[in-house]
Amino acid sequence: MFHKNERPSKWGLLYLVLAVSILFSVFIVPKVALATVERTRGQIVTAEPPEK
Amino acid sequence: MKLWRKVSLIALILVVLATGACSLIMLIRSGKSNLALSIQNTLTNQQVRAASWSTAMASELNASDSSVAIRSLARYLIAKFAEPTTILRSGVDTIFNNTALNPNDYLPISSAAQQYIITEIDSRSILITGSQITINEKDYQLYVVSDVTSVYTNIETMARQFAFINSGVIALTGAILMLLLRAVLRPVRTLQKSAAALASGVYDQRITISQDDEIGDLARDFNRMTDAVESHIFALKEEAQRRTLFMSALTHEMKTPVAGISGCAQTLLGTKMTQEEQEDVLMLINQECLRIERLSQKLMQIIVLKQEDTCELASTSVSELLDGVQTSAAALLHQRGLSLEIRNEMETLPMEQDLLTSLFLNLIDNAGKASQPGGTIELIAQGNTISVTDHGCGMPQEELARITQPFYMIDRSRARKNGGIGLGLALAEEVVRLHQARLVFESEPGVGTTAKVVFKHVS
Repeated sequence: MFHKNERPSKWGLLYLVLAVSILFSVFIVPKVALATVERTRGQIVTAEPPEK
Repeated sequence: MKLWRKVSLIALILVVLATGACSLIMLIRSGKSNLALSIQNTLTNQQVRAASWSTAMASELNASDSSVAIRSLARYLIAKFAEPTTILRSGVDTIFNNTALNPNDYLPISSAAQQYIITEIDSRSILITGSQITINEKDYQLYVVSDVTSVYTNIETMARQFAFINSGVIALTGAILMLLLRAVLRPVRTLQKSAAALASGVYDQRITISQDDEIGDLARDFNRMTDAVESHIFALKEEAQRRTLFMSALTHEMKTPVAGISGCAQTLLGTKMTQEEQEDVLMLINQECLRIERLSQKLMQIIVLKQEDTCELASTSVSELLDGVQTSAAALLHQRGLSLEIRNEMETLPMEQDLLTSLFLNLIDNAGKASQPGGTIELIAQGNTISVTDHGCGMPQEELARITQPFYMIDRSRARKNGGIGLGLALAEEVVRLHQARLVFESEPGVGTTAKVVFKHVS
């Protein structure tokens, strides 16, 4: 289908991986952090009694 | 894609993933830590208020007090100990509440254990803590409310700051990586250019990389390879030149007798001659034919010997060799009025006897051609050398390097007169090569010549 010179290089995928990594780091990481911290929101929690 | 780009991209991806992971861990830990602190502070606050109010109620309450009085006392005391965010209820009755929310809707309490809930009210994150207090068999629910929205906004702010810092780190890392890699890979580009030059026929370029790493090793090996290629090319060019010279000399040597034969034949055909004259012309034709025959025989011998890298050498008595040479040379020497003096101090020698015999016959023949009648030729075997010495006309020093070249003759006319064709010493060189020895000439014009065969291995 492709001649050797025309075949898309596998190494070009690195640009895509880098872009996805940067987007993940900038946008997804804060969302994941917030979601983790908010996991107990809305749940009634019984506090442990203080140790005597 | 260039190597520096591949490595830069891979390294950057790893940096991005690492900084992202670190940011995530730090955000989660920081957020949880801050939230836990807020929760703990509020729980402690609620516990203190509850303890203070219940102690005060217990001490002020009388068994005979009416429910209205008890309620008023409760309200009075909670107002004394409470903050605006404190709420006191008893069942469905709200005794004290300065906030707008009904905590029972979010955190229904039915035991003395402290409980809490974080809930979203009007886009704010509200922490409600509470516990049940029983005084004189009446249950009261005391709540403390706290706004923890800042904990979550802090996480968002930190996340934005991390994203900003990470972007800066990634950009800086990328720039440094690219510069570093280009610098590190510069020697590789130098190597590539040198390889291209070598491929296009430039053999005198060498790489001056003196690093003590893999690239330095590669550069040194490349230089060694270039040295080898250059010397092989040089040797091939020399060999090609030698063959060209050989062919041109051969053509020249063949031309002379052929021209002679052709001339004689034309004379025979075109000129009226006496029987005697015809016989003279036929004799000339015969001589030239014999010359061509000798030429072709010697050429064949040289070709056969050149094709061999080694020959089978057997340990043979040197005196047997020299006796054989003396016998074979006797007629030739007698014809020229020369004598042969032999001196032997060697016992045995690894040799191919026939080849060495023909070699020394050749050398003795040359010595004979250079000598005057009545002279002596010496054949001496001593140490690791067998030499043939004559006291003839000798040769100039500058000729010695060329006398083993095929068809080379110092005095062409004298050599032809003696039947020489200029291949004898070329043949001798091949025989000496097969015996892993050296052929050395020492000569002085007017004094004589010594031809030495220096052997490597002597038994």
